[in-house]
Amino acid sequence: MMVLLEINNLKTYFHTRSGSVKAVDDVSFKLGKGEVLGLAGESGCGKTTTCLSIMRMIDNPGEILEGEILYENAKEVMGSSDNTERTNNILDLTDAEMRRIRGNHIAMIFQGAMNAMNPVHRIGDQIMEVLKIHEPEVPKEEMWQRVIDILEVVGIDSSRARDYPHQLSGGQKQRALIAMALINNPDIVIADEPVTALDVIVQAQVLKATKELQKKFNLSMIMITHDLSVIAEVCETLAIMYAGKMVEYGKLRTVFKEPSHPYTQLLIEAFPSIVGPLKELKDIGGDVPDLRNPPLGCNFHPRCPKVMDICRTEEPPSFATKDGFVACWLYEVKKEK
Amino acid sequence: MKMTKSNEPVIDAIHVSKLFPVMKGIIEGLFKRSEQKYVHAVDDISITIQAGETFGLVGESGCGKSTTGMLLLQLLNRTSGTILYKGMDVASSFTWPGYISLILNVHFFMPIGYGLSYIFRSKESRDSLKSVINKSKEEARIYKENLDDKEVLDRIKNLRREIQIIFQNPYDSLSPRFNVMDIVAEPLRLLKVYPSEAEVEQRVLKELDSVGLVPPEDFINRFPHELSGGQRQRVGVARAFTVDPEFIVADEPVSMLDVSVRVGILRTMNKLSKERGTAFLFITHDLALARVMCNQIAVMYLGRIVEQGPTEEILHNPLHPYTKALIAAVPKPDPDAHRTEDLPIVGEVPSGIDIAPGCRFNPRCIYAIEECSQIDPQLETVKKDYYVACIRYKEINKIK
Ligand SMILES: Nc1ncnc2c1ncn2[C@@H]1O[C@H](COP(=O)(O)OP(=O)(O)OP(=O)(O)O)[C@@H](O)[C@H]1O
Ligand SMILES: Nc1ncnc2c1ncn2[C@@H]1O[C@H](COP(=O)(O)OP(=O)(O)O)[C@@H](O)[C@H]1O
Ligand code: SF4
Ligand code: SF4
Ligand SMILES: [Mg+2]
Ligand SMILES: [Mg+2]
Repeated sequence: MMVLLEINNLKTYFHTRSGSVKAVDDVSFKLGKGEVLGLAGESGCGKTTTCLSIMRMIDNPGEILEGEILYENAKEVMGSSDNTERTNNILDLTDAEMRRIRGNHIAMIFQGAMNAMNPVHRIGDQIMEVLKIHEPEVPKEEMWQRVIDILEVVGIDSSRARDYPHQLSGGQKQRALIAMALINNPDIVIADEPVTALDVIVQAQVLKATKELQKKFNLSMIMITHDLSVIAEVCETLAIMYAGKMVEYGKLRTVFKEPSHPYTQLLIEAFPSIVGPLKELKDIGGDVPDLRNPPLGCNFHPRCPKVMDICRTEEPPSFATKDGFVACWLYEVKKEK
Repeated sequence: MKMTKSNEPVIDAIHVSKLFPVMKGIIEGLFKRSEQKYVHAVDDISITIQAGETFGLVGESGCGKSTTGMLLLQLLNRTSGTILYKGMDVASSFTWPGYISLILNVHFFMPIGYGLSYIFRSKESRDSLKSVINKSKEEARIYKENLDDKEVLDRIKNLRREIQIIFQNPYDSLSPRFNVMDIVAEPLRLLKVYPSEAEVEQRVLKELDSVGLVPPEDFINRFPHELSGGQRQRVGVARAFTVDPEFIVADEPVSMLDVSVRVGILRTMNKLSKERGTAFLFITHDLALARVMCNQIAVMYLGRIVEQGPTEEILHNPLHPYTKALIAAVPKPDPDAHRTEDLPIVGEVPSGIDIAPGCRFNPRCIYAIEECSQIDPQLETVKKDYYVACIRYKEINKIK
């Protein structure tokens, strides 16, 4: 699979009065063409910040300190002259170039966006606005036609294009947001908790539509959610974040069925299911650490049932697994063999 | 520990309904003399909860779960029906005055402290509160007369202690200006449960310990913003439990929290309800949670209970077409268990205002036949403690 996006050693901190919040701390992963990656983890672990960094939408007091975000098609937005020395690193693009990336190449559906739609503009017009940013020269009639088309694609009847957001149900609003993300034919769509606020039946309908669209356009997607069952349904690869770190990454089935990291194991066990035998409830115990002062060594160690001496002082590097990696000292032995 | 008489249910709600009048648009109100419309938030439901039982109420957003909870807590005036709390009909004589006391900030019926902010938060409840204020002068007079009645006063006092609520949102259900000690101690102090402050503090420490905030001494001086969401919710649970309630409504108590934190809180609730015989109404839209918490569940659709019975049986073999769709839609945390591609349901949830004649599920039901738009199915007994409201359930499920 062709790698479309590669994130290396990304660090994004928020400098607050009481110290720096290490929201994303040395995160690396890849996203292939047509791949759907799930990004999971407890609230506050840095999922949104990771993706906002990719969009270069980190504002004060936030700062991307280190790392690179390599985007395969970055050259397309650069001016034609002297690109030869330039890399594909999104972080090195000018602001003008970055504006061409946003929405056009990489689109993001923001967390809670459903409730943030402009109440006084018709949804069709809101979608058209997005189109105008990148292709202002297209005649209005043609633009409107494209809006209608994309609405049909996501399963909203074209007659609803002139409705205001409050006239749409939650599921329809979420579909409209997907339409807005797709209208410029992006390569990559990042969706932050796209179905969390929806009821199960509507959730199932929206996810089904999402899956179909992803296949149809061979989209690469990053799906952020804390709901592992949603990930199990749509993703091929799964990345688990804990307190600013990516602690495990691999094929969906591997991470689900043979989780390596103790945190992943506990997270999966804590998830109740309506199928299978009725299980005793299990919890992880303890709390997510304060990201201003993360614990020394492995930052999961205060909650880890398998903690060893080394974990308290040395930060575990990433060790290779069957089809990904895990950041945990338990797997060090395997490396030495 | 207190237990109710063995076979008397703690809560017995019989044919309870709640209609909310729909506010007319200004234009419509001026020019048209249209008839008053109502949202059928809760329509003719009956629920019985025994001591120590956790009863689940599940269904999609807007189906009437929270309204049912408020009705059982006497926080909302029901339109019709009877609610017996340990055999007594407290609702009939007290709900209106309950509102007045609320307005006067006396909050007689409220699980102490929480109530006001909750009621005033939603616009809908504010509106209904306004209409109550307008109508309640006469009620106030009756209430005043009742105030002289010693027995009545005692009942009110007990009720304030015996029924409690745990809210959905741990982020704004605790007062930011009080520390944990004061938050948890407030009901004890207000109700003068213990004669001395030392005993109050003793009790608070014990309660914090039993909800897993250990060591409790570390927590008593903290303010809500110094706690994580999960810890806040534990404070809410501790507070509800300090006064030894007999009945607790838990309205989506963990839906705002991460999975990893949820479980601890649910386990704590489970443990306390087992140890102390507390009855729970557990409101959730998450069937997997209902499964781990409740032996019995009721599935609601547009204000009606459409299926009610033992949780495991319903989850494995749902009889009502709506329950079937709901269960098919639940995502499974397992890459191999794929959700059925086409859900056995059509369309979207209609508003609760213009309800279709006949079975209210019929516009969305894939099994609907002609009769379904004429007959409004009532709950039928399938077997002991198992009910379903569908005229075709036998046929659909091949039951003789
Ligand atoms: N005070 C009110 N005035 C008017 N309508 C109301 C009022 N409270 C609730 N409703 C309506 O009653 C119906 C049931 O509402 P309720 O809040 O009980 O649903 P719910 O199942 O708890 O939903 P959710 O899961 O979203 O909380 C909805 O149609 C709602 O809009
Ligand atoms: N604007 C901000 N200022 C300060 N801290 C922030 C800001 N945005 C996020 N954070 C902190 O960064 C961490 C990760 O946040 P986020 O990426 O939003 O988590 P998630 O999406 O996984 O819930 C959290 O500790 C959060 O409090
Ligand atoms: S490195 Fe140590 S503390 Fe961290 S997850 Fe692995 S075993 Fe647990
Ligand atoms: S009564 Fe008819 S419409 Fe209603 S659930 Fe049964 S089959 Fe469907
Ligand atoms: Mg987020
Ligand atoms: Mg509710």
